[in-house]
Amino acid sequence: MMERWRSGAGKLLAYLMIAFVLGNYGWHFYAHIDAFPFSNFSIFTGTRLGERHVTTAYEFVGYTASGERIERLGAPIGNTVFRSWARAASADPALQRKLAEMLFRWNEIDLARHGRDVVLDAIELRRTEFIIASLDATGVERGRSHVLFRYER
Amino acid sequence: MNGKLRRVLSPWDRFWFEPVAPYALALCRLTACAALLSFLLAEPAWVKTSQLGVLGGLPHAFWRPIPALQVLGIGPPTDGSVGAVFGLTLVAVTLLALGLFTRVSSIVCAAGAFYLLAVRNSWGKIYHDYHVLMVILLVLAVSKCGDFLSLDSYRRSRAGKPALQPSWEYCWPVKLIQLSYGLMFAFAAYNKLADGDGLEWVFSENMRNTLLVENFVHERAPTLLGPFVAQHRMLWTAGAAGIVLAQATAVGLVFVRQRFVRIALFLLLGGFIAGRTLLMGMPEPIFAILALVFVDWNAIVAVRLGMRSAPLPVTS
Repeated sequence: MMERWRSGAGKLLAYLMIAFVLGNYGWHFYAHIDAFPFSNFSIFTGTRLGERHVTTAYEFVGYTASGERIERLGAPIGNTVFRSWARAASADPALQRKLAEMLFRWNEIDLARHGRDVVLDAIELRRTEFIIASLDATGVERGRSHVLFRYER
Repeated sequence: MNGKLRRVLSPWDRFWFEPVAPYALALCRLTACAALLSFLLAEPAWVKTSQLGVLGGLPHAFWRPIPALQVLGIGPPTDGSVGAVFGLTLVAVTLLALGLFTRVSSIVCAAGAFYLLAVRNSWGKIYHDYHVLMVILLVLAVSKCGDFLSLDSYRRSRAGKPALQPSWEYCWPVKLIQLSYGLMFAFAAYNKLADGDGLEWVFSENMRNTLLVENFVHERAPTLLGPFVAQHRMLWTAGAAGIVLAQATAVGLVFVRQRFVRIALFLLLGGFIAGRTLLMGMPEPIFAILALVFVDWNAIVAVRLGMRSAPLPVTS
């Protein structure tokens, strides 16, 4: 009797799990929600034959007091998210200052971890275009680049 | 239940609840532990610039909790909460890998991983890479995944408990885990074909552009294969077709039993996963580790011992 009850409860739990997992997948897929395992949107960067393909990227560049330029800096959670935070905080000087302090601290710790003990004087976020000029391209050409914002100490 | 209904439901019942040996489920447990450990050790909470280490210090003004955290009323994390959950999860995943106190450690592991992954996704960016692991940990938490290859089973055998029997309880969790992983790729293939203009994702310059952007704009791949393939139209088109094919057919590993078809599908999936790293520099080990859930250990053990169905361990 006990064994039958245990088996029945186990099967009920199994059915609940199957329904939960498959239902969750189905719902996310049906509603086109971007929280699906693997993005629910495909990345498509196609061009027509012979067309120039242009893509943009957000880059953090740092400067030390002596004027040394340090490229390929990063940001907590990622460059694109930090950019949207900085834009959202633009009307709030206190929040902007907090973001700036966080960005300086985060990059200095990260540089130190990679053996570079530097103090950053300024950090700027640049929006840069990268161009794939022709079908035979073996690399990517750097296009227009401009500073979206700059934090100074 | 009348005979007709029984006949209709019997393939469904056989698929989910066929009595099998516990080898495959034990392997799923070890695979999930390896995947979670690879994440925890790559982004440790004690490193202030890692993705988990940074969470406690982010400005609360940008907290955008995912719906599950809203429902549970969980607020922005602190360094203390992330550190404590990280430590607990690390201990739990170690115990789960060893198969010690498996029932409790699997539940703590699933809960801890859920908190860390959910909090990481609550700042305006959704990371897609570890969702499937969350699903797998949840399934393991309600399964009997510690019955084999575990210290718990060793303790049980020392205590003179009866040997394990084939059971449906070792079947459905493996099927559900495999299906979660296979469907993830199947839907990715669907989106590539449905969101674009039919086969445009494959036959346009999409793959060449992606290869070049990944190699020259983002982090460079560990080999020069990506830029090389990007120079030859036939190669990049074949690569794109291979990606869609591998993603669309991975779910077949859940249903197909013929050994050679399974090996072909597995190699196709493995080629796609290796290609992501070698050509595009996407090194997340999780997809490679989790692909091991498709290895049919029950069948392999049976073949090794020359038996038709997988035998059970005598001592556990």
